[in-house]
Amino acid sequence: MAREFSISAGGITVAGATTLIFVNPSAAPNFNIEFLRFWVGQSANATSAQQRIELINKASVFPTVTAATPTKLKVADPNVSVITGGTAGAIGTAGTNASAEGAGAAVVRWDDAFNVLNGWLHVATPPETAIYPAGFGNGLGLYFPVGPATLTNWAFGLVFREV
Amino acid sequence: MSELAQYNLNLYPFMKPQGPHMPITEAYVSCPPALVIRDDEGSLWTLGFDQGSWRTGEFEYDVVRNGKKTGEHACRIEFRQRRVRIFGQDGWRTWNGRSFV
Repeated sequence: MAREFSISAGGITVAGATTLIFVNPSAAPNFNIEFLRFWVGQSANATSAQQRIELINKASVFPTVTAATPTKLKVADPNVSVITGGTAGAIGTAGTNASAEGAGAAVVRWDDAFNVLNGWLHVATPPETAIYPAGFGNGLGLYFPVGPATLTNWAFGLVFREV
Repeated sequence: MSELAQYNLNLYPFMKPQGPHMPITEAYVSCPPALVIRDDEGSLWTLGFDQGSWRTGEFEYDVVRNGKKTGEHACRIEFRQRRVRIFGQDGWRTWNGRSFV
């Protein structure tokens, strides 16, 4: 299947309670964004510890992030994503590791926790995928609601397809 | 990407074995929701991005060992009795050191 893309980062030092990835769908008319999976792991801390993780929705005043351009999963896919790298969480952009969270209210879509030794992989079953339609104006964030015990060497990412 | 191909570990660093300081995964840990499983040999197991069928009712992806595809697809990897098992449309199968049987 084509038009599948990942956004991934590794070796990241997070500031604490942080938006790890933020994706805001494009203006309509365009492809909708269906989020298929999310992951978070780390390679610094060899001590068992629990860490909370959330998927959040933001409707306004988005986080300030490091721009991240989606990578196509199928190397022969002739398409590029309609999402581009951006630092402001604006419509049609994506970014990682927020330096400022933005004042917009975060509505929790999914609340979970994991052991940092094992990492966290969320694969939505087909009826449970989150679809953000073009023109929605809201963005989806992968979010640490509390800071981890060890801030260094985090790896995280997500996969979405354009439908 | 062909069968048995290597993933780009710079792009997906979570697939890379992380060194002897990281402990062996505890029994009954399952991926997902765990991101990775470390077995007694220090191999790191996870699910890749090559989607297979979903006859089990869940998306199945390629099974990845140390960043390389094993040629198998599964919706679940489990570490149980110090063995790596996968569950997919062919049911449960166990890693024998070379393949899943």
